[in-house]
Amino acid sequence: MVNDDADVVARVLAGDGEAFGILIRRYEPGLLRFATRMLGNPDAAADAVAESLVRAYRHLAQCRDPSRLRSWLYRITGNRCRSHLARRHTNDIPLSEAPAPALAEASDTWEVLERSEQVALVERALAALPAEKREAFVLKHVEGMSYEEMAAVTGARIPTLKMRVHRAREALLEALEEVVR
Amino acid sequence: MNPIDPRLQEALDGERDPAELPADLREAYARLIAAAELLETTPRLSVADRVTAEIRRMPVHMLPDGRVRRAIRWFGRPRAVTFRLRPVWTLALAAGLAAILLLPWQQGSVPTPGESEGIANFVGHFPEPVRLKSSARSITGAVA
Repeated sequence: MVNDDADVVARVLAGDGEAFGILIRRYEPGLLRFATRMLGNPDAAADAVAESLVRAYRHLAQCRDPSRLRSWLYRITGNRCRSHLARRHTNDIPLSEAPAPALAEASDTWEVLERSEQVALVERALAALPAEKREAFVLKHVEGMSYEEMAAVTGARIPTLKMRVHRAREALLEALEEVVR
Repeated sequence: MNPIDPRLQEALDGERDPAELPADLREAYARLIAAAELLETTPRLSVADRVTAEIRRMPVHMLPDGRVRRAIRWFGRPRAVTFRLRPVWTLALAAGLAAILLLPWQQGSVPTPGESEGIANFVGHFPEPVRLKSSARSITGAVA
Protein backbone atom coordinates (compact mmCIF):
# COMPACT_ATOMS: atom_id res chain seq x y z
CA MET A 1 0.00 0.00 0.00
CA VAL A 2 1.40 3.40 -1.02
CA ASN A 3 0.10 5.20 2.03
CA ASP A 4 0.40 2.46 4.60
CA ASP A 5 -0.25 3.33 8.23
CA ALA A 6 3.41 3.57 9.25
CA ASP A 7 4.12 6.07 6.43
CA VAL A 8 1.14 8.22 7.31
CA VAL A 9 2.05 8.17 11.00
CA ALA A 10 5.61 9.24 10.12
CA ARG A 11 4.23 12.13 8.06
CA VAL A 12 2.00 13.31 10.90
CA LEU A 13 4.88 13.10 13.39
CA ALA A 14 7.06 15.08 10.99
CA GLY A 15 4.56 17.93 11.21
CA ASP A 16 2.08 17.16 8.39
CA GLY A 17 -1.07 17.37 10.52
CA GLU A 18 -3.35 17.14 7.48
CA ALA A 19 -2.10 13.59 6.83
CA PHE A 20 -4.06 12.49 9.89
CA GLY A 21 -7.16 12.95 7.70
CA ILE A 22 -6.08 9.86 5.75
CA LEU A 23 -6.19 7.81 8.94
CA ILE A 24 -9.56 9.28 9.93
CA ARG A 25 -11.08 8.36 6.57
CA ARG A 26 -9.51 4.91 6.73
CA TYR A 27 -10.68 3.91 10.21
CA GLU A 28 -13.67 6.10 11.01
CA PRO A 29 -16.38 3.75 9.60
CA GLY A 30 -15.10 0.72 11.52
CA LEU A 31 -14.59 2.64 14.74
CA LEU A 32 -18.09 4.16 14.52
CA ARG A 33 -19.61 0.75 13.87
CA PHE A 34 -17.70 -0.77 16.80
CA ALA A 35 -18.61 2.08 19.17
CA THR A 36 -22.27 2.02 18.10
CA ARG A 37 -22.49 -1.70 18.79
CA MET A 38 -20.76 -1.20 22.14
CA LEU A 39 -22.83 1.77 23.30
CA GLY A 40 -26.12 1.11 21.51
CA ASN A 41 -26.46 4.80 20.74
CA PRO A 42 -25.06 6.52 17.63
CA ASP A 43 -24.64 9.92 19.30
CA ALA A 44 -22.68 8.48 22.21
CA ALA A 45 -20.68 6.42 19.70
CA ALA A 46 -19.85 9.56 17.67
CA ASP A 47 -18.67 11.29 20.86
CA ALA A 48 -16.54 8.28 21.84
CA VAL A 49 -14.96 7.98 18.39
CA ALA A 50 -14.28 11.73 18.09
CA GLU A 51 -12.65 11.76 21.54
CA SER A 52 -10.64 8.65 20.62
CA LEU A 53 -9.35 10.11 17.36
CA VAL A 54 -8.31 13.39 19.00
CA ARG A 55 -6.59 11.42 21.75
CA ALA A 56 -4.90 9.21 19.17
CA TYR A 57 -3.63 12.30 17.34
CA ARG A 58 -2.20 13.82 20.52
CA HIS A 59 -0.48 10.60 21.56
CA LEU A 60 0.48 9.34 18.12
CA ALA A 61 4.18 9.33 19.02
CA GLN A 62 3.37 6.76 21.72
CA CYS A 63 2.04 4.27 19.17
CA ARG A 64 4.86 1.74 19.49
CA ASP A 65 4.14 -0.10 16.27
CA PRO A 66 2.49 2.14 13.65
CA SER A 67 1.98 -0.88 11.39
CA ARG A 68 -0.54 -2.07 13.98
CA LEU A 69 -2.32 1.24 14.15
CA ARG A 70 -5.75 -0.34 13.68
CA SER A 71 -5.44 -2.35 16.91
CA TRP A 72 -4.19 0.74 18.73
CA LEU A 73 -7.13 2.86 17.54
CA TYR A 74 -9.65 0.17 18.45
CA ARG A 75 -8.03 -0.13 21.87
CA ILE A 76 -8.40 3.61 22.51
CA THR A 77 -11.99 3.54 21.27
CA GLY A 78 -12.79 0.47 23.39
CA ASN A 79 -11.46 2.30 26.46
CA ARG A 80 -13.57 5.37 25.64
CA CYS A 81 -16.64 3.16 25.25
CA ARG A 82 -15.98 1.56 28.62
CA SER A 83 -15.67 5.01 30.18
CA HIS A 84 -18.98 6.06 28.61
CA LEU A 85 -20.66 2.91 29.88
CA ALA A 86 -19.27 3.43 33.37
CA ARG A 87 -20.52 7.04 33.42
CA ARG A 88 -24.07 6.00 32.61
CA HIS A 89 -26.35 6.44 35.59
CA THR A 90 -28.28 3.51 36.91
CA ASN A 91 -31.54 5.29 36.09
CA ASP A 92 -30.62 5.58 32.42
CA ILE A 93 -32.47 3.45 29.93
CA PRO A 94 -30.77 0.03 29.85
CA LEU A 95 -28.87 -0.61 26.64
CA SER A 96 -31.16 -3.48 25.68
CA GLU A 97 -34.23 -1.20 25.90
CA ALA A 98 -32.73 1.85 24.22
CA PRO A 99 -34.17 2.86 20.86
CA ALA A 100 -32.32 1.30 17.98
CA PRO A 101 -30.19 3.60 15.83
CA ALA A 102 -32.14 5.07 12.93
CA LEU A 103 -30.72 3.21 9.99
CA ALA A 104 -33.75 3.51 7.73
CA GLU A 105 -35.63 6.52 6.44
CA ALA A 106 -39.29 6.97 5.56
CA SER A 107 -38.57 6.83 1.85
CA ASP A 108 -36.88 3.44 2.07
CA THR A 109 -38.40 0.36 0.54
CA TRP A 110 -40.19 -2.39 2.45
CA GLU A 111 -37.11 -4.65 2.25
CA VAL A 112 -34.95 -1.95 3.75
CA LEU A 113 -37.45 -1.34 6.54
CA GLU A 114 -37.65 -5.05 7.23
CA ARG A 115 -33.89 -5.27 7.32
CA SER A 116 -33.78 -2.26 9.60
CA GLU A 117 -36.17 -4.01 11.96
CA GLN A 118 -34.00 -7.12 11.91
CA VAL A 119 -30.92 -5.02 12.68
CA ALA A 120 -32.75 -3.45 15.62
CA LEU A 121 -33.70 -6.87 16.97
CA VAL A 122 -30.17 -8.22 16.65
CA GLU A 123 -28.83 -5.06 18.28
CA ARG A 124 -31.16 -5.54 21.22
CA ALA A 125 -29.99 -9.13 21.61
CA LEU A 126 -26.39 -7.94 21.45
CA ALA A 127 -27.04 -5.13 23.92
CA ALA A 128 -28.38 -7.64 26.44
CA LEU A 129 -24.90 -9.22 26.64
CA PRO A 130 -22.37 -8.07 29.24
CA ALA A 131 -19.98 -5.48 27.77
CA GLU A 132 -16.96 -7.81 27.65
CA LYS A 133 -18.82 -10.50 25.70
CA ARG A 134 -20.42 -7.90 23.45
CA GLU A 135 -17.00 -6.44 22.69
CA ALA A 136 -15.52 -9.86 21.98
CA PHE A 137 -18.37 -10.83 19.64
CA VAL A 138 -18.27 -7.52 17.74
CA LEU A 139 -14.49 -7.58 17.29
CA LYS A 140 -14.57 -11.19 16.10
CA HIS A 141 -17.65 -11.34 13.93
CA VAL A 142 -18.41 -7.75 12.94
CA GLU A 143 -14.90 -6.30 12.64
CA GLY A 144 -13.46 -9.63 11.49
CA MET A 145 -10.41 -9.62 13.78
CA SER A 146 -8.23 -12.59 14.61
CA TYR A 147 -7.93 -13.62 18.26
CA GLU A 148 -4.35 -12.25 18.24
CA GLU A 149 -5.55 -8.84 17.10
CA MET A 150 -8.40 -8.95 19.62
CA ALA A 151 -5.85 -9.61 22.36
CA ALA A 152 -3.92 -6.51 21.26
CA VAL A 153 -7.12 -4.46 21.32
CA THR A 154 -8.56 -5.65 24.62
CA GLY A 155 -5.44 -6.62 26.57
CA ALA A 156 -7.13 -9.93 27.44
CA ARG A 157 -5.56 -13.34 26.87
CA ILE A 158 -6.59 -15.41 23.84
CA PRO A 159 -8.22 -18.27 25.82
CA THR A 160 -10.24 -15.68 27.76
CA LEU A 161 -11.33 -14.04 24.51
CA LYS A 162 -12.30 -17.39 22.99
CA MET A 163 -14.41 -18.13 26.04
CA ARG A 164 -16.11 -14.72 25.82
CA VAL A 165 -16.87 -15.18 22.12
CA HIS A 166 -18.23 -18.70 22.72
CA ARG A 167 -20.49 -17.50 25.55
CA ALA A 168 -21.66 -14.53 23.46
CA ARG A 169 -22.57 -16.86 20.57
CA GLU A 170 -24.54 -19.11 22.89
CA ALA A 171 -26.47 -16.19 24.37
CA LEU A 172 -27.11 -14.60 20.98
CA LEU A 173 -28.20 -17.83 19.36
CA GLU A 174 -30.70 -18.36 22.13
CA ALA A 175 -31.98 -14.79 21.86
CA LEU A 176 -32.17 -14.83 18.09
CA GLU A 177 -33.87 -18.17 17.58
CA GLU A 178 -37.10 -16.47 16.60
CA VAL A 179 -35.60 -13.39 15.01
CA VAL A 180 -33.21 -14.18 12.18
CA ARG A 181 -34.27 -16.80 9.72
CA MET B 1 -28.00 -20.72 28.34
CA ASN B 2 -27.39 -23.89 26.34
CA PRO B 3 -23.80 -24.62 25.39
CA ILE B 4 -23.20 -24.71 21.64
CA ASP B 5 -21.85 -27.85 20.04
CA PRO B 6 -18.02 -27.55 19.88
CA ARG B 7 -18.12 -28.32 16.14
CA LEU B 8 -20.24 -25.22 15.59
CA GLN B 9 -17.78 -23.13 17.65
CA GLU B 10 -14.93 -24.51 15.54
CA ALA B 11 -16.75 -23.65 12.32
CA LEU B 12 -17.45 -20.13 13.56
CA ASP B 13 -13.78 -19.78 14.52
CA GLY B 14 -12.81 -20.79 10.99
CA GLU B 15 -11.22 -24.04 12.18
CA ARG B 16 -13.76 -26.34 10.48
CA ASP B 17 -15.55 -26.26 7.15
CA PRO B 18 -19.22 -25.36 7.83
CA ALA B 19 -20.27 -27.73 5.04
CA GLU B 20 -19.16 -30.62 7.27
CA LEU B 21 -21.69 -29.68 9.97
CA PRO B 22 -24.94 -31.60 10.42
CA ALA B 23 -28.09 -29.84 9.16
CA ASP B 24 -29.21 -28.46 12.54
CA LEU B 25 -25.77 -27.01 13.28
CA ARG B 26 -25.55 -25.60 9.75
CA GLU B 27 -28.80 -23.75 10.41
CA ALA B 28 -27.47 -22.32 13.70
CA TYR B 29 -24.26 -21.38 11.91
CA ALA B 30 -26.20 -19.54 9.21
CA ARG B 31 -28.30 -17.75 11.84
CA LEU B 32 -25.27 -16.41 13.70
CA ILE B 33 -23.49 -15.38 10.52
CA ALA B 34 -26.64 -13.59 9.32
CA ALA B 35 -26.86 -11.75 12.66
CA ALA B 36 -23.23 -10.69 12.42
CA GLU B 37 -23.80 -9.48 8.84
CA LEU B 38 -26.74 -7.37 10.00
CA LEU B 39 -24.47 -5.76 12.58
CA GLU B 40 -21.97 -4.83 9.88
CA THR B 41 -24.26 -1.99 8.84
CA THR B 42 -22.25 1.18 9.34
CA PRO B 43 -24.14 4.05 10.99
CA ARG B 44 -24.71 7.12 8.80
CA LEU B 45 -22.43 9.29 10.83
CA SER B 46 -19.15 11.09 10.42
CA VAL B 47 -16.95 12.74 12.97
CA ALA B 48 -14.19 13.65 10.50
CA ASP B 49 -15.02 17.39 10.37
CA ARG B 50 -15.34 17.58 14.15
CA VAL B 51 -12.03 15.82 14.73
CA THR B 52 -10.22 17.87 12.08
CA ALA B 53 -11.55 21.14 13.55
CA GLU B 54 -10.49 20.10 17.04
CA ILE B 55 -7.01 19.13 15.85
CA ARG B 56 -6.58 22.50 14.07
CA ARG B 57 -7.56 24.36 17.25
CA MET B 58 -5.05 22.39 19.29
CA PRO B 59 -2.24 24.43 20.93
CA VAL B 60 1.26 23.76 19.57
CA HIS B 61 2.47 22.00 22.71
CA MET B 62 -0.30 19.41 22.31
CA LEU B 63 0.67 18.44 18.78
CA PRO B 64 2.11 14.97 18.24
CA ASP B 65 5.85 14.79 17.90
CA GLY B 66 8.77 12.39 17.75
CA ARG B 67 10.60 11.62 20.98
CA VAL B 68 13.70 13.68 20.19
CA ARG B 69 11.74 16.78 19.22
CA ARG B 70 9.55 16.39 22.31
CA ALA B 71 12.65 16.10 24.50
CA ILE B 72 14.21 19.20 22.91
CA ARG B 73 11.00 21.13 23.46
CA TRP B 74 10.79 19.90 27.05
CA PHE B 75 14.28 21.20 27.78
CA GLY B 76 13.58 24.53 26.08
CA ARG B 77 10.34 25.29 27.90
CA PRO B 78 10.44 27.21 31.22
CA ARG B 79 9.38 25.10 34.16
CA ALA B 80 8.48 25.99 37.71
CA VAL B 81 10.85 24.44 40.23
CA THR B 82 9.38 24.17 43.70
CA PHE B 83 11.34 23.40 46.83
CA ARG B 84 9.55 22.28 49.94
CA LEU B 85 11.62 22.91 53.08
CA ARG B 86 10.72 22.82 56.74
CA PRO B 87 11.35 26.26 58.39
CA VAL B 88 13.87 24.70 60.75
CA TRP B 89 15.94 23.45 57.84
CA THR B 90 15.59 26.81 56.11
CA LEU B 91 17.03 28.53 59.22
CA ALA B 92 19.82 25.99 59.43
CA LEU B 93 20.64 26.53 55.76
CA ALA B 94 20.64 30.32 56.23
CA ALA B 95 22.91 29.99 59.29
CA GLY B 96 25.29 27.74 57.36
CA LEU B 97 25.49 30.19 54.46
CA ALA B 98 26.06 33.11 56.86
CA ALA B 99 28.87 31.16 58.56
CA ILE B 100 30.56 30.47 55.24
CA LEU B 101 30.35 34.11 54.17
CA LEU B 102 31.18 35.85 57.45
CA LEU B 103 33.69 33.69 59.32
CA PRO B 104 37.39 34.28 58.43
CA TRP B 105 38.68 31.13 56.79
CA GLN B 106 42.35 30.35 56.36
CA GLN B 107 43.30 31.14 52.77
CA GLY B 108 45.44 28.12 51.92
CA SER B 109 48.74 27.26 53.71
CA VAL B 110 50.64 30.48 52.78
CA PRO B 111 49.91 33.35 55.21
CA THR B 112 49.21 36.73 53.72
CA PRO B 113 51.81 39.19 55.14
CA GLY B 114 50.69 42.49 56.58
CA GLU B 115 51.97 45.89 55.48
CA SER B 116 55.00 45.84 57.80
CA GLU B 117 55.61 42.10 57.46
CA GLY B 118 57.46 39.92 54.98
CA ILE B 119 58.24 36.32 54.22
CA ALA B 120 61.77 35.03 54.57
CA ASN B 121 62.97 32.00 52.63
CA PHE B 122 65.70 29.83 54.17
CA VAL B 123 67.83 27.64 51.92
CA GLY B 124 69.90 24.80 53.31
CA HIS B 125 72.87 23.20 51.44
CA PHE B 126 73.99 19.65 52.22
CA PRO B 127 77.36 18.76 50.67
CA GLU B 128 76.88 15.03 51.36
CA PRO B 129 73.66 13.08 50.87
CA VAL B 130 71.82 12.68 54.16
CA ARG B 131 70.59 9.17 54.82
CA LEU B 132 67.37 8.95 56.79
CA LYS B 133 67.18 6.12 59.28
CA SER B 134 63.56 5.29 58.99
CA SER B 135 62.85 5.42 55.29
CA ALA B 136 66.37 5.05 53.80
CA ARG B 137 65.55 7.85 51.38
CA SER B 138 68.12 10.54 50.60
CA ILE B 139 67.70 14.24 50.30
CA THR B 140 69.90 15.56 47.57
CA GLY B 141 68.24 18.77 46.67
CA ALA B 142 67.70 21.99 48.43
CA VAL B 143 64.94 22.41 50.97
CA ALA B 144 63.12 25.64 50.69
